[in-house]
Amino acid sequence: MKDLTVPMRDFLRRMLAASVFTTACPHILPGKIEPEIKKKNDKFLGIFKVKISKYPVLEKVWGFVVLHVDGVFGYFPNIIVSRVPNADYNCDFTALLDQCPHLCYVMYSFNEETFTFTCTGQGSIFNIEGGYIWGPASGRVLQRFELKYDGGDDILIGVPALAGTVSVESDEQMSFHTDCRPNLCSEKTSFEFGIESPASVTIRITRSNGTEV
Amino acid sequence: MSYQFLEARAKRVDLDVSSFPEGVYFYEMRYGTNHLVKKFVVQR
Repeated sequence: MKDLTVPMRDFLRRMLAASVFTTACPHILPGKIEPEIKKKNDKFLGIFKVKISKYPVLEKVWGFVVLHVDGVFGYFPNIIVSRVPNADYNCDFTALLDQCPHLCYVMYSFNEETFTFTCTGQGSIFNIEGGYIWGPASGRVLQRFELKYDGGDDILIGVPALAGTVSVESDEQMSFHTDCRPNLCSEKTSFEFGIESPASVTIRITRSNGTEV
Repeated sequence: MSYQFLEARAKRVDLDVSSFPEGVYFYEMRYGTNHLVKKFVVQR
């Protein structure tokens, strides 16, 4: 059987390429980053190396940049990288998915008076570590990514490639659901679902930028 | 591309992706007030 390891890594590296934006308007694009792809157990991980010298906004506490990782996490695939005061948080940076776990809305800009993110949809509030504070997200937290920083110039952020579930709002009525198989696919792929009581089900296929196929 | 199933209970959905360019795609499933989004990748 043909060994697909190397082409897959190249493909994933290109798929996960991130644009780096400033969080404040105007959202300036200071660069792009391609991750290094590593295999961890059976899963692929994209390791982004964010250089502080290239993004000096991260030199100061409460400095932010956004990694726009196209096509991985749904319609708003942004990872917010924040510099936080080490004395208060016991770390220098956090990396959070800019997507409310309730209805997948993005967050408003960080509120520096309350040190919180607020969902633009229904107002759920989260702290800088992604922890739930208030609102209809009901205890769910912002997705947080692995981050390593040893005090030098490089921040390493690990992003799962080919993560299965992008978002689940409320699936109490769902009896079962399978992921697409195969995934990666070339000709056909299939999934199955079952719901508790018969209902009208609409399925829409979209590209990674949200436009319908 | 979209599909609609009336009074669905359990279904297998086969997607023909042979004409899709390589890339990342999502399928969004809505039923009642529920909403589920999943991802698949087309690679050749």
